[in-house]
Amino acid sequence: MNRKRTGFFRELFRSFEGTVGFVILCVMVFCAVFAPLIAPYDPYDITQRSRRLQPPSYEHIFGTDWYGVDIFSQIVYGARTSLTVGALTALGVSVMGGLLGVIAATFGKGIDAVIMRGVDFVMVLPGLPIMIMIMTYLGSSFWTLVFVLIVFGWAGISRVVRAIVLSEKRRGYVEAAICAGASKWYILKRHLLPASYPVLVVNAAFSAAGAMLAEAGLSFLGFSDPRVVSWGKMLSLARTCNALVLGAWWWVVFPGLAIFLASFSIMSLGVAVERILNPKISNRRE
Amino acid sequence: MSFSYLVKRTIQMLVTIVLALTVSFVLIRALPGDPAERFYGDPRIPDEVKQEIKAAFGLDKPVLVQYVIFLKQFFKGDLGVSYTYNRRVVGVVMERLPWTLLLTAVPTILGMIASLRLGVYIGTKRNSFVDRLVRYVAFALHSVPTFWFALLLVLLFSFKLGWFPLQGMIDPTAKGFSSFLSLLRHAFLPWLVIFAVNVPGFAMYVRNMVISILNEEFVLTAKAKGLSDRQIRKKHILRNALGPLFSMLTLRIAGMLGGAVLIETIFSWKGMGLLVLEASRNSDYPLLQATVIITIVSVIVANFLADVLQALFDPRVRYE
Repeated sequence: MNRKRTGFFRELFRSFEGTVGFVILCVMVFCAVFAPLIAPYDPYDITQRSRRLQPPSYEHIFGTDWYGVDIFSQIVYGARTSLTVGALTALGVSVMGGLLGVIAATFGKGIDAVIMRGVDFVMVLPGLPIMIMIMTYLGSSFWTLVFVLIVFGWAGISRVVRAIVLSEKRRGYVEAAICAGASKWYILKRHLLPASYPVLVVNAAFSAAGAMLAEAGLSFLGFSDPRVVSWGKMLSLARTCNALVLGAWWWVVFPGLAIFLASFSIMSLGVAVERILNPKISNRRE
Repeated sequence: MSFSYLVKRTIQMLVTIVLALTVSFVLIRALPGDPAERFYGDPRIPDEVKQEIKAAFGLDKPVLVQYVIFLKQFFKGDLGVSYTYNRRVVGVVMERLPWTLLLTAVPTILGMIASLRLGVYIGTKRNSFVDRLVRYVAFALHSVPTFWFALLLVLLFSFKLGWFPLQGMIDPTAKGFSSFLSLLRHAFLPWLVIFAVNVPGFAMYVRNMVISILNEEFVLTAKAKGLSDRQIRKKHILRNALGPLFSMLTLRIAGMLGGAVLIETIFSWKGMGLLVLEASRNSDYPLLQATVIITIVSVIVANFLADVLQALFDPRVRYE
């Protein structure tokens, strides 16, 4: 077991995407966990009006905003919001999408048809306006956000899991297991589910990246939890305070860069892991 | 394209629209809060007023009857009255719809043409410098928040260089042809954003199509016949890549019309997206619901059109 794991990391670091993704993500997770130790200023302290709109300097490496709040400290704390939204959404999407895919494939017929029409339906929905409508009704809180992101994210992966389980079911070793008297539940747990793990892992990475971007977009539009700092909310504030007119480019550039790096690192990691778990795919893409 | 395909696809579209309406109906009633209280804007609403409002909107009838009324009214084009505009919401939304279509359709069509050319080029020159560049850019673009990219373009082109107006749609003082020019000047940056964000992804899709087409036997036959590369590219590759490009488009339409909310916010483009936000901010629920429902229906209709176009270009397309 242990040897297998070191082999995985050796392969991960052999690829450029894997190394870059892993390093950036580790830095971000570190920032999120130890935010109070890393952030030099309080990201909620809006009383320091005397130091407002300072360009990047030695004291404030990313500058300050209209309320005199240090941008770098906000970005460090913002990592918490972004990463938790990404992780929770990825988890929710994997569980819900995976389960529905497996259910559709094993039960078949009517249940399968209903779930797959549901997939088709969710895939043609314009997410953002509907999310805005739901958040207007339910109020914008952290959990509402995660909820709507999961509701709009599960469809793609459930279709893939269904296809994998269906094709795996017809493989010789599964039929052999059935002949040997294995129960339906045992086959599902032992053979069919593990076959879809690689795809689930990779899809989780892409879902997390997508969720972070969606969170940023919704926060930018003003649908964010009022109690926490987030990168999207920083950009929203920068817009309402006319940061561009005031020439405060640092207020716009750095939060966006943080969003990009967070999503980019997870996407890269996803691609690298995909290549290790499923070498066929990388050959096809080249 | 066969006639039966068109009929089947039309029925599918209608079923999807009814399904979307059903989900909206259920959703609107499942969400917390009394609709009459929402309409009144104050939970301390007197009882007789509550009854009056409920009667006016048919809320006192059984749910199934309400559902049938809701469907009937939708197909009659009646989705209620906006509180803020004091007009029928459908009228308000329909004034905005063309602007959102103008905002998204123009760069999408131009983007498809450009990515078709680019995709065929990099598909036939695999692993060249341009091919790698497009591949990396397409990958990185997945992680760039579109609204941030738009903000950066505004920072560069409108503030630093002053080439384009900051926001808005048409200079109100302009008349005749100059108002058209003003529209182009205002639309250029948002168009550029949508164009630039879409082209690399589309081009990669075309490229992968082209690579698989190049392995087909008919390409070999064409070469054996002595056709030039240019002729093969035009007659065989382009033609076969066009159909799948439309199916790629169907996957992106929902995201594009939905994502218009962000672009419209940044450029103060008075389309459907800004209307959704405005309705949400003013708690104008009928307007909010109508805008969302009409956006969904627009996506479904656009998907239908893209599928029909694909069937026109690609005779192999069959229903299901």
